[in-house]
Amino acid sequence: MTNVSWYDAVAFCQKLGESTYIKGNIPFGYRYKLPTETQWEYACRAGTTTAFHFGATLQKGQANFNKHVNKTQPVGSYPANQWGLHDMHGNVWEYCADLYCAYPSGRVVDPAGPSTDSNRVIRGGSWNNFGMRCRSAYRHETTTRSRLNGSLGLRLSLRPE
Amino acid sequence: MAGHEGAQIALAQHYRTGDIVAQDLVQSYAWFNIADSRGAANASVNREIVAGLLSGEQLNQAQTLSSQIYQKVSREAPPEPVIQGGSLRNILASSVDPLAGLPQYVPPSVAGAAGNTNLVSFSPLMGRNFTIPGLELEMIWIPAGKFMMGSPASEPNRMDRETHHEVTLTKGFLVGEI
Repeated sequence: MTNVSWYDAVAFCQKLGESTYIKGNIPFGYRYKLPTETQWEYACRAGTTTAFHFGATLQKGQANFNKHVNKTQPVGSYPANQWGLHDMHGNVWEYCADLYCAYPSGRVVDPAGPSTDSNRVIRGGSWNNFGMRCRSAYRHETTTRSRLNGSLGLRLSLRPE
Repeated sequence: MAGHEGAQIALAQHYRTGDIVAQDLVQSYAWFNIADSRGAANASVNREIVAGLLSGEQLNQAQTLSSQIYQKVSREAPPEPVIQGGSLRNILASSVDPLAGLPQYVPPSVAGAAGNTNLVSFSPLMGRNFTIPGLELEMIWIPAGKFMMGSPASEPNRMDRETHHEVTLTKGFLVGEI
């Protein structure tokens, strides 16, 4: 999905969540939400430690970036990572649930990030970004009302509350 | 709220699981029964599951409560209209359940108590993918684990804000394939 604001994305998750909770179709304690920034990077890396889940560099045929195509591509047009996720690098930025903040330097467990209404983290880069912005670790931030001219979307998650 | 069967089922679920209100199976039975009387899908099977957990006296209380509530809500507004559609905009605007057809989740203890093998019981550690009907979106199971978040100092083009640090995720989750 593209051309959505953070509020659109959250509303969409809530809508899914209401209908599934009513039907009793999701595990107890889980909800449809945007992924946290941590969950996004963990899912993107799929066990890798390199700059991209493909390796140290990102090649033209691996993702939609650097205006190689100059527009968004149908989702799933490029190879998946080791956990079966497509388009983690490039195509459109993806909203995370978290407010942008500096990382801790020590170990953390299940970080949720602050939740007050401010700039949100977006991840993964888009079709018109250089490869360095599509890296697994790269963090960008934007306002909750931004749509970045159709280069911003969402990846749905079903996660613990 | 009492005029809408979706909200009635939600309330019944809350009473059944005790997640945001104190667990009350008598209330849960009563609200599932109200929702069933107004044609809500899955209401009757859920009501019977809850009924299996009640004593005879509790069941009498629940049925009395149900008829009291029914007399009250039947004077209120009719159910909301349903609009068909699959797009984000339509789903946001409608009361269609985009996930109709998914296996129904039932806590293992409840499914076991009811002896009902038709109901899927999967725990929060369910560990499997599924497709969201309507959206046709495959959700991929991501296992719990530990990883290094951010980037090492040796990574080309890294930024200061990517402080390398260890993160543990104690619970698995699902994310969309795309």
